[in-house]
Amino acid sequence: MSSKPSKAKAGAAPAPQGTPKATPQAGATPERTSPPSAHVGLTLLEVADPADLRALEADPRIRPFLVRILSERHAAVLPGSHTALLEALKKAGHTPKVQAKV
Amino acid sequence: MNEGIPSELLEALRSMGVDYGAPDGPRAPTALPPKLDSWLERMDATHVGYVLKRFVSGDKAATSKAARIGAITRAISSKAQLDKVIAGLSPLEHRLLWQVKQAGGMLDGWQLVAVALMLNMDPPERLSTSTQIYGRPLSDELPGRGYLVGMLRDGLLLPASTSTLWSGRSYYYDSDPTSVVWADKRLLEALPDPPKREWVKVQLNTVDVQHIPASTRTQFHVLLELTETFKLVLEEGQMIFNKDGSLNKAYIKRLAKKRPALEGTLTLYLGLTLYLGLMNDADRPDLNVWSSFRASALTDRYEAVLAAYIGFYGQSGHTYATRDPQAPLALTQALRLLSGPASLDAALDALNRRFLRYFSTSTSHGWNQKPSSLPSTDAYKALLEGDFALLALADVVTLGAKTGAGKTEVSQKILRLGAGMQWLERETRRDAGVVKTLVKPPLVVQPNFEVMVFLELLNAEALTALEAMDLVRLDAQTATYSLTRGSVYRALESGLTLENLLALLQTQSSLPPSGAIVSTLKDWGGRRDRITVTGGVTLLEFSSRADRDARLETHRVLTAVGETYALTGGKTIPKDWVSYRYDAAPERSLRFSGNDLLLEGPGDWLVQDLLSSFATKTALGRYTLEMDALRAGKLTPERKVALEGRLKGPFPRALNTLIDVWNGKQKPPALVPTTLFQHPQAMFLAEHPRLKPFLSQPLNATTYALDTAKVKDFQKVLAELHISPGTALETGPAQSVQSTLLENIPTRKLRELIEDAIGAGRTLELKYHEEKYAGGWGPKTQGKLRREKIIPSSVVYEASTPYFVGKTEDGDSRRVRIGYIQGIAVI
Repeated sequence: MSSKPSKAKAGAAPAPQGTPKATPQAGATPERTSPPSAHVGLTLLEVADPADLRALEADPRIRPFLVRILSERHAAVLPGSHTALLEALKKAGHTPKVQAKV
Repeated sequence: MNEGIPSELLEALRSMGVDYGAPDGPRAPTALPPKLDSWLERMDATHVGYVLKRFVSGDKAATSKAARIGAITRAISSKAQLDKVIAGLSPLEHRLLWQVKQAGGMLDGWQLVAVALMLNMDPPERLSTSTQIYGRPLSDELPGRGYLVGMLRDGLLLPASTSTLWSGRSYYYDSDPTSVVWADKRLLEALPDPPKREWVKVQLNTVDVQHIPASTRTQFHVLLELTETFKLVLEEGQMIFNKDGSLNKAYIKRLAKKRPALEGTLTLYLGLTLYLGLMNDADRPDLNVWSSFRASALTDRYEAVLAAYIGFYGQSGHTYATRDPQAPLALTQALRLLSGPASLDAALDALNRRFLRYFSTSTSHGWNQKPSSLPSTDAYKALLEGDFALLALADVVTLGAKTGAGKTEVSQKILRLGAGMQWLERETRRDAGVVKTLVKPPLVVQPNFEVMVFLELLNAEALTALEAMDLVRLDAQTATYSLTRGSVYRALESGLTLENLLALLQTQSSLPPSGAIVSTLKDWGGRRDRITVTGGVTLLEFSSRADRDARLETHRVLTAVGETYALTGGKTIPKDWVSYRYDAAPERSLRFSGNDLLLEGPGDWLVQDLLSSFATKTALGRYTLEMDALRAGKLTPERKVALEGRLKGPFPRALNTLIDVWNGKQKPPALVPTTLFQHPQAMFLAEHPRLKPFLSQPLNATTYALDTAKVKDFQKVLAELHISPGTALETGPAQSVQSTLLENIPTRKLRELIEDAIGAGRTLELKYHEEKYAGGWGPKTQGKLRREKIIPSSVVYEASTPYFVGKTEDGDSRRVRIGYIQGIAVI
């Protein structure tokens, strides 16, 4: 756990006011211990098209809720923000499919 | 007719006693009745003697309780003996046992009373009050008890528990005596069908109401409104309750704002939603139950709603405290005995004598006594004109007569069966093939996305299709709905598939949806598939892709995500792995140290994310706050809550204020050159008419700020009053708290000071006595003397004694009797 998460990749929209500085990107290996770690009880956001995730990242209403970008189609949601993210997505005009659990 | 209805609902229907089927209608037994044997042990010897007499007539040999039980057990296992028992049943006993058999072996006893009354069967002879059943003496408290008590004594009926409403007098420790009864399975299996009997209508002088318009409330209105209510709950995602379990008023108000047409009925419909089991334990909509509910026929849904209403009515606590909990059940059954529209008063009087009085649990009339006065009909009237009208069970029509002044006066109220009740009876006959109905599509999907609904033609499939639309207008005969992206999304989220919806619109609309509508619906459905949010997942994080891939090869349940992650459906995490739980209270791994944050351990993703957004790592586990990042709003309210949840100790107040000022939640501080006026009794001096205009800005009880422009004028006034002010200002520790408090202030003045402080948002420094209670209702006296700072919020009165309510700086609530304040300072 020695380094901060990496910065957003080139081409992504600049971080707007009131949002986190940068969302760690796919494959980033931030502070991590050598044995695998398990993150239990997370909310996962998955998009059908990578362009959709890029658009969500660029949206200042959604970006604060994405704690980590896991792949070009997956992002982990800020813990405790499941309902707030859904509200924000709906306010932003999205109609997300909501699932209880994998 | 019951296919598709969840078994819990069926059970609820039966246990609540609602049965709209014909008295001889079939019902598939579903419950397993208990054996008489197990109940024999709970009877005393005399009670067992009665059962012996019924099951083993003529057996005088068995004298001990054990021998008698043995004889009964052998008899109930013998087909020949059971046939003898059945042959000895009275017509009433045979009919009631058969009713229990039809219900699957278990039934609410009130339902049996209703059946006996509807078939106009006389109760058996009254038992002696010296008779004991399950160790309890009989009581006359329940007028309807006479129909069942003999059968319970003889073991033909078995109570669901010894704390039964029927067996005898209830004791104080019988917190909730049950009215459910059973019968032995072997007895029921051997029971043949009884002779058919028709319900006997109550003879009334019916009135001709042909000139009165038809009822505007139908069963379809009930079902549509219930569906609309559940849609609202789906949109909200939850139901909100107060601490006492009642529905939150602000929540109901919010829903009513969304659907003004439902205002006034939402409390009832939300209650029905609960009693239909459509909400899970977490007060969230239960889509599985809803799915079962909507898969059932309309008649079943309506019956389920009525059963839920009876449960809701019985459990509504203080709302209906003065009413008999059996009233809705009794009234629904009694209404079916009406031979036609009749005067409300006459009908209620007749139904009361013939039927309703037997259901009272609050009168002391014996079941075979001539009551000196019947129970009040006011509760029944209110029920008929209120909930029953809303639920389309009854229709009370007010007839008016024009007077000379051109005014209309109520001349008579007519009671007739509601459209819903009539429909249920018609549907029952239709199910039996007696009545045929023409099937026509009930919907018309118009090109502008509006859907016209003909209520009379409504069926279960069309009602399901309406879940994907928003109600625009609901009239007596028709309704108008609108297809919107939000309404379609809500329906898809509640389990309806796009294919189902399109198919329903095709089959249920007399005008098939246009190509534009179909393509738009497909587009809306497709949009939903673009983003998926899945809660409660477990994500594994590996140090490298190679590690992850190696694990994937050995663990087929894993799904690769990105370079180094994998999703797992399993919950067991190997012990040597670091595990972070986001579905439980977070670990408090952070604490403030001056301007730095100290982190214990690696921290979960949220902690890492928080730190990366507004802090810089300066040493192992030490992060220095970046004021620029905080000023730029990187600590959003959500993240601040998350941070506080992971903090040991409080969030620094100064930093909190700075952030609030930066993000505009609080205004910036003021910096104003000023002149101060200070005196230990400054507050009294400020009351002087000459000084008052200058002393309008108290800083505390002893110090006032002066307007710089008026200082010279103020000095002149002081000179005129022969006051020569000094220049030494007492500040800081030298000015003790003791010295700044104003003491011996009258209560009225204290109250004014406190009210001024509330208006100005000021804090009070107080020395006061706590109020001490001498016993529960004893006098209140002065207690411990306290000194503390309190932020007052309101002045309240208990009788005529003023108190003020507020909070300490630590957030503790305080309620201080103003008369007990010894010293005060506004700071």
